[in-house]
Amino acid sequence: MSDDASLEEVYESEQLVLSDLINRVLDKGVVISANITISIADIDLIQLDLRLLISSVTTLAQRRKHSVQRGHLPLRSRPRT
Amino acid sequence: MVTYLYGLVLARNVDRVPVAAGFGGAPVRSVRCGMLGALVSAVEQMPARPTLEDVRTHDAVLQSAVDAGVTAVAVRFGQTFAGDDEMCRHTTERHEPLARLLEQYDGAVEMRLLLPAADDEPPPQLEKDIGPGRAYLESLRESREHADHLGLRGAIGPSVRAEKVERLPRSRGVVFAHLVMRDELQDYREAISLLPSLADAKVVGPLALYSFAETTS
Repeated sequence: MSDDASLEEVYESEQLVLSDLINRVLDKGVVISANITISIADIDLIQLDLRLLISSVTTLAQRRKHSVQRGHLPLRSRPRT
Repeated sequence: MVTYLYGLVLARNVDRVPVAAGFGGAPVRSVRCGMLGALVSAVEQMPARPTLEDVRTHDAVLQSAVDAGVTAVAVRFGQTFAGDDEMCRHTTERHEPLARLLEQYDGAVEMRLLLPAADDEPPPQLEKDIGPGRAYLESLRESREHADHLGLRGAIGPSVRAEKVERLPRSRGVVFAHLVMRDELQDYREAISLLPSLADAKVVGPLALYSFAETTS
């Protein structure tokens, strides 16, 4: 497996987990006061998505840098959390 | 200052919830509201636009309860109140069904099985003659059929008390939310790890009850 393929897998895995985190925190759970939820519905998810993307890319870049410094390729990612 | 509500536990369990750091590092307190314990902290005001860090903080507070062995029901992000009294007033209005739910699911956690969208999977398209509601239900039906195809039900069925299927936005993938008792978590994880069809899946949890936080009354 190539280095790029491994990086792509790590990136996609992190994207998936972050996407689920945002989705469940913003869209799931008990609504105690409906009036407040209406204002939350205005959240600019595109902005959140951009932050998510930037965060993931930054993390990936740092991991790649550390891997190169240590002289080995990034591990194939099949983590279970 | 306002009171921000993160989640709810049974009142008898509030002493088991450790003090976590909420927004701005403020300590999270447990406030008894009838049969429920509310996990809250004081915040200046809700940010106009939440950041990813805000989302993580909300989740982390709930996680501290879960990690302490307490079943917690997640409250949706952004619920703030003028003070503890107002928060308690609103919460107490709904405390009976919520307490029933927490009693029913006491000892359970939510596990989330994330399946990335296949590279060759076409994005879901709405047919012209059906509305978005029906299209959504159709997409869930397809997801359930997908689960059957993966052999998911047969493998993890015994350890799953309830299941909800959700699609992630922007066709990123499908989430199977599972309600699992804590003492059956190992069986659940082992069953998933043995399924070759789930090699690309990601298991997240144990978590507070997000998808199973809905009450019937």
